[in-house]
Amino acid sequence: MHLTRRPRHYRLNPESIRLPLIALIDVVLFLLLYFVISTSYEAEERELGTTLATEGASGSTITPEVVTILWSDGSARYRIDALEYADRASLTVALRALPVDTGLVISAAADAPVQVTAGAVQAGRDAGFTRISFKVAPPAPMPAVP
Amino acid sequence: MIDVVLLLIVFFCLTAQFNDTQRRPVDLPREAGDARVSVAPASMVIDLDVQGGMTVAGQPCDEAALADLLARQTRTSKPGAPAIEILIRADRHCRTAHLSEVGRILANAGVHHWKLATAGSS
Repeated sequence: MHLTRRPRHYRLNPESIRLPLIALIDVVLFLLLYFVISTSYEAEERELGTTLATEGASGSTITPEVVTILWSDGSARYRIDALEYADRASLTVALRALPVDTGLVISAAADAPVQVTAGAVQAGRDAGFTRISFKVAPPAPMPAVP
Repeated sequence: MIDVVLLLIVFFCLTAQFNDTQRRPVDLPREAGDARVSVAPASMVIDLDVQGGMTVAGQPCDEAALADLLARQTRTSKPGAPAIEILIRADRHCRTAHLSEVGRILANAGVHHWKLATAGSS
């Protein structure tokens, strides 16, 4: 192999510099393609209830607090024991007053949308409950026709 | 050589994202939820549409097929391996009864813990 040695007093002529445009465009396009593909355009999904479980899975003897979701005429009400709460905010306030060690069971009406059920689970988590189970209440019996 | 390397990078990016792009758009419950804590993707993602129709890995799936799939996955998992991680992506307008049905199938297969995907904002 014959290598030419640069002369000692070689001065680079600026006019002789040429940018290889075709190769540059190739690289830029590849990089563009890479960033387009690697970018996620979807909104980030999150997860609710890392301990969400079907009721009966834990086998614990401690009686958990139960929130019953009642669904009628397109609106939800929440019941804890004998007390009813008309909205999610008041449910969260009520849950904050309860001991969180016992766990929480969300008993949802079968017809209630998942949004409402997820909202109740979120309210439980906001109140500090970490063990949240979930069950579906049987549909309410139809009122007897006189 | 640079071309080949870049093509390889593109190939790996495409295959790595394939799992996520399989996810169909679902109108998820708008709740804050928690950020994803697991690094590994969920072992099974069950989509539940507004009518209660199930889709697993982009394929429509009925109750029997889901039970079958779960049984197969449980059989093939090694002893001592962590439980199957289930992520349910339910439409926010879907009836809770459908979610409960999926929960029942999971419980019958020995899977008692699952996660509900949310859209992340109230």
